[in-house]
Amino acid sequence: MTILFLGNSHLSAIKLAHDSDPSLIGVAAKFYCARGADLYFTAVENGRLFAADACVDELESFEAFVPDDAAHYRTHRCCMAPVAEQFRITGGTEDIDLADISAIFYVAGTSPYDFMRNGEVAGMCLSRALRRELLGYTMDQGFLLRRHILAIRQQVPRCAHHFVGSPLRASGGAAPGTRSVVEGERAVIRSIADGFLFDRVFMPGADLLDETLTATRAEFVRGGRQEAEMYQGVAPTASDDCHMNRLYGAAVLRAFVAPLVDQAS
Amino acid sequence: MSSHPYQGLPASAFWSTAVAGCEPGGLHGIYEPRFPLDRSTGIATAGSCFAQHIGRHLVGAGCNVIDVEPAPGRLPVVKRAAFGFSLYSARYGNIYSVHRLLQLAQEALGSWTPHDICWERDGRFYDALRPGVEPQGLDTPEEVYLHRRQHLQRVRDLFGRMDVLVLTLGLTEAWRSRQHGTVYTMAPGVRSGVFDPDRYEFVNYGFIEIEAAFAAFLETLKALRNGRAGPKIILTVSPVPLAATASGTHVLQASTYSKAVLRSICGHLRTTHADIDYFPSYEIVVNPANRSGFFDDGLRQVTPRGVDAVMQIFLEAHRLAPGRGDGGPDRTGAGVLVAAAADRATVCEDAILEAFAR
Repeated sequence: MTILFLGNSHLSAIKLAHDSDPSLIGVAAKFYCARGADLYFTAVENGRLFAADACVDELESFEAFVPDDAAHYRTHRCCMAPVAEQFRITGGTEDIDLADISAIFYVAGTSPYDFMRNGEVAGMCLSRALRRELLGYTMDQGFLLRRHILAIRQQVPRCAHHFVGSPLRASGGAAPGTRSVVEGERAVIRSIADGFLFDRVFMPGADLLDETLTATRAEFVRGGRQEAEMYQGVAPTASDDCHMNRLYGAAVLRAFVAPLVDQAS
Repeated sequence: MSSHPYQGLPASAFWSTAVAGCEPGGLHGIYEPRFPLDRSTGIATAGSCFAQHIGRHLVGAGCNVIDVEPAPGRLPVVKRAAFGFSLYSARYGNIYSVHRLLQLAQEALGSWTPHDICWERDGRFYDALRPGVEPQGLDTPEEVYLHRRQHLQRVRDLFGRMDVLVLTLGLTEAWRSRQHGTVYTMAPGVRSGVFDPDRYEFVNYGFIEIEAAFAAFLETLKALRNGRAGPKIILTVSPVPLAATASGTHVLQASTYSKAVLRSICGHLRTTHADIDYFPSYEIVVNPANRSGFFDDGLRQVTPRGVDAVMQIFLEAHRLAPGRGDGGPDRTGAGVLVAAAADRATVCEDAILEAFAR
């Protein structure tokens, strides 16, 4: 059994945690990281995933993830570095053979299920029906990975697909009194998210979050960006508030990945 | 020949020249605004479902139509109306009666509390005062109250800062709680809730009751605005006839009564309040010169051509029609996107009553 972790800079937290303690999951794992580029710069053909020739230029898709500054995101993130080269550096090959992969864990910064990032938790009450509509749009029309997942499902039907976001920044900015509202929101999101496009979706638990449930605890963020940059072979820069560190990665492996691996094996 | 008062009057004063001699929709001088609107005026819209057309056209013309409860950015435009977004300046759905509007304002102010507003159907829970905004209902009664509290905060903000309220009056008939006086948007049992004649009563408001309710509404607005003047109000009467009546009279009579009372109220309020104007959307649509051509096959809903005729007169009168000299609408605005893409059909709770016709 081999599982594949596929992602962008946020993958480093998982990779470094796995390097520190491979027994956390107990099966063979491959890691392919395309820094900044995200996975919509890839294509799937003949059971292999490889770098696409050109980047996708769908502003609408970006808006689903970065509604405040989609144009900036597109300009500065598009083709940050050649994907094939990054795959070779991080995974050893320029394309990925999916034949022996039993599950893919997609690792990215923003989760499509993260309504909190868009300020919608504090901003307005959302009913289950409305959430479903928003999720449906995000997954069906605005989700950058959708085409790849559908293509892989067609070519490698037995492969499971799971999503790991690190969606909560270091500071959420939500008032402490919103916790009960947030808990309700998370319950709705969880009930909708699993099985929508992915088989399972990781949502950080209370052990990783601050008291408002809208931000990751500082100890899981500290140094995360520098770790990511070191892993990717670039010079470390200043810290930021959205890259998680290896402690967070270990928590994801224990709480989410390991149970799924056990279940599958 | 001696002189008399009708000598020298303009053509608009004579039926033969102003109505019979005009092309449908080509009415001249039927609306002379009492106060100006421009594209910076903060406009709020509310009322019966015909008001949705007005709001949409104002947005399309680049007017500053306030939306205190905008749709989440990722909700597709075509889905917004189904959840009560982008129909009015807040997500209050259709407000058919002046009494419902008054109670909404009082509730926003905190001077009055409605009772028995969470109605159930098939295990789902609905806000009986805005039943159309959550088509599948909510999970729990607590969620209904939570959503309503948030809604009221937004309504309070809206009523406090709007410069002009465009209000379309639709019905005199309503259903009311016998015990608490809460006025509902729909009869209990039609869409949700359970009809119990011991708890709910039919009411057909008359001129004096509506006048009093409107006066109370103005007083409540004053309190909500903390001494800030205004707002100015443009009243209209929906030309859409009643879908059904519970008054015991023929629906044509009931509809005529309702519209006549509302039209009279508008005239009275315009006469007695300098900050209230009346826009004759009702007259423009029911004008006999149209030979009912502005109604669709069901003889209730106004056709797009009729709506366009109404709004052309309104926008021309305010010099807001697209293409006028002041730069025209900003077509890059999100609101314009909504206006352009949204279905032209309106969302009307009372249309469901047609399904009960035998």
